[in-house]
Amino acid sequence: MEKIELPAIEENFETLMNFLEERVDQSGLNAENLMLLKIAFEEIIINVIHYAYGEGGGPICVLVDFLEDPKRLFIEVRDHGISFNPLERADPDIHVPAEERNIGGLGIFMTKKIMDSVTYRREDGMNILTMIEGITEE
Amino acid sequence: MSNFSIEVSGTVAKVTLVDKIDTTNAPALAEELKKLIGQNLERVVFMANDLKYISSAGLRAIVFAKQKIGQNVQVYLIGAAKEIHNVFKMTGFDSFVKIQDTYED
Repeated sequence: MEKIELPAIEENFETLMNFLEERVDQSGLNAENLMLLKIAFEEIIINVIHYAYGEGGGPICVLVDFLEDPKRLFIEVRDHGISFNPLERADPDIHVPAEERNIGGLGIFMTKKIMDSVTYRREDGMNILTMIEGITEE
Repeated sequence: MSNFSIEVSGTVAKVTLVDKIDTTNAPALAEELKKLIGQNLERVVFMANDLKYISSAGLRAIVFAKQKIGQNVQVYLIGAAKEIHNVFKMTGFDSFVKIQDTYED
């Protein structure tokens, strides 16, 4: 298990993305799944950066691990901010005409579509979002 | 270097997207697209041959183009790789964006 913890601010966005990229680029995921995984991760960390804390700020913690049998990638994103389950947000209606599109909620919707599993729990004053993606050997 | 450039010719705006459109540069893209409002455009053509990544922040800029630039603007996505194309399908953006391999002026 590898871990990074940083202040949840936009200036740390690239560092957090790089932390994930460096660990997953050689993981056996194909190019398409890698891109999708990064999208899902971006949506989750940007949610924390933008909404978890008020002016005082606070940390974001990311854990990455590879699990066996079956081989899968485990990503956990934790914050100590206000209790918030992003998965409860209603999915946007992706079938309405463009003119009526409400553009909120799209990121979480994509995350749920992309990952094999996304779960939320509130524990010890933390929001903990766990994402799992299976890795099929090519 | 910017990850996008916009070139207007007549009623067509060509928006070239390069590498990544994510949370760091999508707001700037949306700002530039705003400048196209009121120019009586008919088409906004996103050239995506060299686009490798687009998150929901980028998609928001694209739906903005459709909603705000003009009532009857047709949005195109040209030359996108399969994985980018799939992001458009996953989000239903393929219902209002014309996705093509190439674009003829």
